[in-house]
Amino acid sequence: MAEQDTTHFGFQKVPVEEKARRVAGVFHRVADKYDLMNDLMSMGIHRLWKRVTVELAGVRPGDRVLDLAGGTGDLAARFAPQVGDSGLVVLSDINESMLREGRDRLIDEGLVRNTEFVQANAEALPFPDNSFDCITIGFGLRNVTRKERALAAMHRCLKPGGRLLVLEFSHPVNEPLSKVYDLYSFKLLPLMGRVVAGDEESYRYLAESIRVHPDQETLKGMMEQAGFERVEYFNLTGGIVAIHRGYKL
Amino acid sequence: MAAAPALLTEALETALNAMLTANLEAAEALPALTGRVLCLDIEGLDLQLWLLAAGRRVQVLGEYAGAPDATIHATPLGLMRMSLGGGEALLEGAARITGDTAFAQRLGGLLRLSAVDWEELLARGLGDVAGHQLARLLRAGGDWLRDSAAALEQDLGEYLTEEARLLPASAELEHWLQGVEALRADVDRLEARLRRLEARRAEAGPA
Repeated sequence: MAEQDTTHFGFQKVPVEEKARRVAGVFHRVADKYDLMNDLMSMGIHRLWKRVTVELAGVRPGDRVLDLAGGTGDLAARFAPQVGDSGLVVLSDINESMLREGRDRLIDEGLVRNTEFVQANAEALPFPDNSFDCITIGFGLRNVTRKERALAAMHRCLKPGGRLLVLEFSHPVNEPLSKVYDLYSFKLLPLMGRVVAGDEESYRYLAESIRVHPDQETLKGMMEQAGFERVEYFNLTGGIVAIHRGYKL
Repeated sequence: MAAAPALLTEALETALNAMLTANLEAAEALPALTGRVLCLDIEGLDLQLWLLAAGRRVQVLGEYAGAPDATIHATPLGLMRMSLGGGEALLEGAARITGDTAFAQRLGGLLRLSAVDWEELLARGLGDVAGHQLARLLRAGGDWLRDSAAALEQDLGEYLTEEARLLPASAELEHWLQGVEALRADVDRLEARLRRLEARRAEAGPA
């Protein structure tokens, strides 16, 4: 093949088959400090971003929810009480270390009656067609190698009428904020990574991967391409983060 | 009805859980209520807060698609008085419970056990929504609410103590709160009488 099959790993180009391995390395290294770092990096605002995502999901008792790249279970822990005993929340992550953190946390909080845990690759979901009312992926899509495949897999697994919510870093909508944000993410973030998690490289990757992630309109287009309808997005904190929501109709 | 903003629900949830987990008795009793839903219908502010018991935590939502096991309908004033005087507020009609009363009182009890300070929480929460609902709050006497909530913070350190000195003594305030409730109840009764009178006139037919 003349064209080298590469993808982004932060600002570097790496062979497609290598990205998953490298991303896995990053998350194995940061898993135990992930929550603390999230609080530090977003100054606590990530809790609000997640809360708004869950509100926009609007799940009801009896719903079946799949939380992809669910990591330490922030979204799943909110969904579980809302879907009740007649519902189900599946916490899924491609990374074993992250999934274990999430499972331990949900068990510690007593959320055991309606939760399941599945280690899975978002590009090849091991679930039957039409099996979920709601799928969420919070701060995970940018780490997926083939985003189109992942979006198509999510579409396949949603029931008709089901919705997908993508919470992800995006692109600030105004210039001054964008400048401050650049300074913050390329200087301060790796520094915090070094001081708190003892791992500058991993946090540099996180900052870079945010930049190469598609902007609001591009991601909206990708979701429509994958078959989602009524796709809309909500900018939070000036577009630093956006929530995309689309329905399978 | 507008959904409570994320900032308000997040602040309430954080405060409630901090206080719940600080109280051993409440922390042990709470898991038994897992899966049950209490709705606080805050009258006069057009605001609903949903409390979902989940393990050792309570989740606070501004909107919920499910049905509540119980609903407490109360003005901010009624809610304040529920935590002040136990069942007193219920007897005086400042608060009303529909649905599973025992559950509402159980969860309400746990919140009280944990010394949840509704006055402070609501005042802070209302401060947060002030941007969105300023006009409505002013109509509902938001300023008064915030002041009196501060007055009830007897033991919150120097700042609040100094603030409190500017406000009426708590017995005085209590008396005034009762006065307001009595007035509210009187107006309700007057309304009912007017309705009855109208009904009677309608029965009698046109003169």
